[in-house]
Amino acid sequence: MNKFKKLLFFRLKNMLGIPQLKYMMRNNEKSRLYLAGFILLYLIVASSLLVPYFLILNFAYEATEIMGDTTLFISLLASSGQILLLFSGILYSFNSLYTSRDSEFLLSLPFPRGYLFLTSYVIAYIMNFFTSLLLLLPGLVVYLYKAGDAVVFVKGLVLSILYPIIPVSLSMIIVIPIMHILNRFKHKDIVATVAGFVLMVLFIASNMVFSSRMQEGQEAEFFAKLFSERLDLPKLSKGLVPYSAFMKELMVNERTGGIASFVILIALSAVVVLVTYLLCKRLYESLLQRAGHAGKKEKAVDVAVIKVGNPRLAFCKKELKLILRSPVYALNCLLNVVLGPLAVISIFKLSTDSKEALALDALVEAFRDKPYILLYIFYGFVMLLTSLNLVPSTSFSREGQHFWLTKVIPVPYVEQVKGRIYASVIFYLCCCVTMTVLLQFFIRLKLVYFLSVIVLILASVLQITYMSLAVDLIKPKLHWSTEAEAVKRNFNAVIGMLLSLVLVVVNALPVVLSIKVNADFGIALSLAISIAIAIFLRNVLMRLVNERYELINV
Amino acid sequence: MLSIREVSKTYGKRQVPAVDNLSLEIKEGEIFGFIGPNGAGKTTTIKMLTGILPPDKGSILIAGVDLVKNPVEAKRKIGYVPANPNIYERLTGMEYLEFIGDVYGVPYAERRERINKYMKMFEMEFSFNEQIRSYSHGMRQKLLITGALMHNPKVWILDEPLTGLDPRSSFLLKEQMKEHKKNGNTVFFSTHILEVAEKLCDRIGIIDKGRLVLIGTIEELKEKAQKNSSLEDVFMTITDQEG
Repeated sequence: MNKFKKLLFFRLKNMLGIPQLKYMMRNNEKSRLYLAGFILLYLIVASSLLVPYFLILNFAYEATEIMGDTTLFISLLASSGQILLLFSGILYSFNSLYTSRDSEFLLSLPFPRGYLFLTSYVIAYIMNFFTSLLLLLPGLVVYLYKAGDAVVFVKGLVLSILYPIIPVSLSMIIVIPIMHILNRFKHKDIVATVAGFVLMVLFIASNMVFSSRMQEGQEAEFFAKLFSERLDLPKLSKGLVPYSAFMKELMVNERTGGIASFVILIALSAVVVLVTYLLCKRLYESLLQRAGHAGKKEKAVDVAVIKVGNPRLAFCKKELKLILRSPVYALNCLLNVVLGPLAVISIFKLSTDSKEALALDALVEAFRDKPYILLYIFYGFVMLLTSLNLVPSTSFSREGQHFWLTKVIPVPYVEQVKGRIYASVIFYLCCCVTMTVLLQFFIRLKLVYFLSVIVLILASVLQITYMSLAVDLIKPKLHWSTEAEAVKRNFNAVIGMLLSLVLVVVNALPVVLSIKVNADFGIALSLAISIAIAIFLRNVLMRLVNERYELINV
Repeated sequence: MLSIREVSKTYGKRQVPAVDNLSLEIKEGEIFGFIGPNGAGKTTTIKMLTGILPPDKGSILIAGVDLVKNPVEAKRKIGYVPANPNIYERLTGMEYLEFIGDVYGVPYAERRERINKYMKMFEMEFSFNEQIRSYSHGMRQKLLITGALMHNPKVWILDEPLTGLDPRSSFLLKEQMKEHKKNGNTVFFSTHILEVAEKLCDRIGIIDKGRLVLIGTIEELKEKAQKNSSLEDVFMTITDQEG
């Protein structure tokens, strides 16, 4: 048991990046500042997510009030939370079982074999427990505040320990067979990337459909209608998550029914854990033994098909391949390619009945005689989403321990950077070309303004590319053990995005300042300035290249 | 062919240099073995020779081209195999070689011929189509060797090249080093396997605490160390004295 505890803490600490945090805390002042900045950023992001979540919960509670039964809110909290935890459980299980790089090493250590699966299981539970707190606590706070029932709040806290067990167990039962199937594919990463994109599109699209149907000021009525007429919440909760009835009983019933439900939930959780352990342990072990061997159809190399290219394009091709083949890179770096066009369609098309869409139509029509304003709405829309791209701001960091190769090859550093610029611009264009075409379809700018906005967008794309590459070149994060650290947990990505937004504002400034004098002159000035900034940033980057490359040591 | 003149390197704010005033001349058609204890400065020297690290002082000439003043031209003449075969794991072996061929500007016919040669030599016909992350350490090493020799470099630099290779591949690599030398090129490699250095090298340099403590043919080393047995004895005597 002692060994199990040691293994669990060792894996958990590594997974949470605690040794890295400790190192940063112990290190110099700069590292501590970096860490503080990162924590602050996480808090800002978390609070920006929590505020809308509180609002939705508030509307949902009011909806149950309209329906005349506020305990339905508890049912909703119990059942919807279980479904959400099943999804997050799948991610955590996938993470602890599939992407953990230590499995092979740990298998060689003198632990009983089942420990590896069991620690992965417990880690997935712990991660899901934190998620469940984030889901449950705001609901309990809303209930406490609205219904004034402190007992439900305390019981909810007790329930939070049991709450993630069943979804995590089910997610393990789902993930391991999926891993067996994925293992049969030669290009399993492509399958994972495509699946990730499909899920992302589904999530964004459903969110957009949902929000487009909700009218401002009538959210509670919308939820009440949705719960009672469309979904039939009590039935749906029992149908989808049958045991949520026990959770509701435990929280609402103050007599023996509550205690009985608690006992039933404990027993049910214990049975599910046992079944999961017995079912998945073997499957996981057989998966580890077969990993890397299954599904490979060997094919000899045909040297006749060798391609020849120039160094700059070779760098560009390498960048494109590495990003598209890694699910982590593809999903994080290409988020805006999916998000941008979807946002345009949803705002201008899907929500034609909503107040916002009508207001937007009215706005476009009102500015028909002031095309410079439409031009900047167009520009701002495209660039806000385009600037979410992480490709250039993590370009050098993604090299990691491979960076030595870029210093050994006989290609001037400037040429290498040009290859990176090509790759970044290609990804930017994937996003802004589709957005530009879609927006022109909806806004219909006059040709001269449309051409102006295209030039402005292209100049901005180049500016952002040069600036983001410079940011990453100044301090690349080359020491990482997982690809996620190179993009998601890379401060350069955040700095790149923030500075990109600053550039977008700077580009739009001349026209805003010269509206009263002559707007067309403002547009021309804006174009000239943005091109000048692009040239200036290019020169800055090219000057930085040789100096910074020399200083980077792997 | 390879000229190192009074080269020094100190990491960060450390007091002790990793390489201290190192000077070496390695001739055309020579296999030079670089040996020394762990942390002696072998890898730092190799990193400076390949342009990964800039020297703090001194100069490095590769086939007459100054590596610091004209790095691109100098790097064209080098083929490098690092000790840790960290390469782009999500590329296939073939894609990696195409990338290397492109950046060194190797013409199609030569590229085809050399890939074919080494692929067959290392029995990698079926592996070059797979992603590098599925390769073993030895397979990665073989891929790096193929990449390093694609442009037929004047100077072939290898850092601990025999680590992870199976006996057959190890033999083939040594033969390849001899062939490279026969073609009038230079081979510079570091190793801990003293028997290999003894049998393969024309000259050997022993580095300890960043300084070159002994250099010469195996006979010269034995004479200087006043030992008439193996390179191992010479190595132990010299590094003990230095310690």
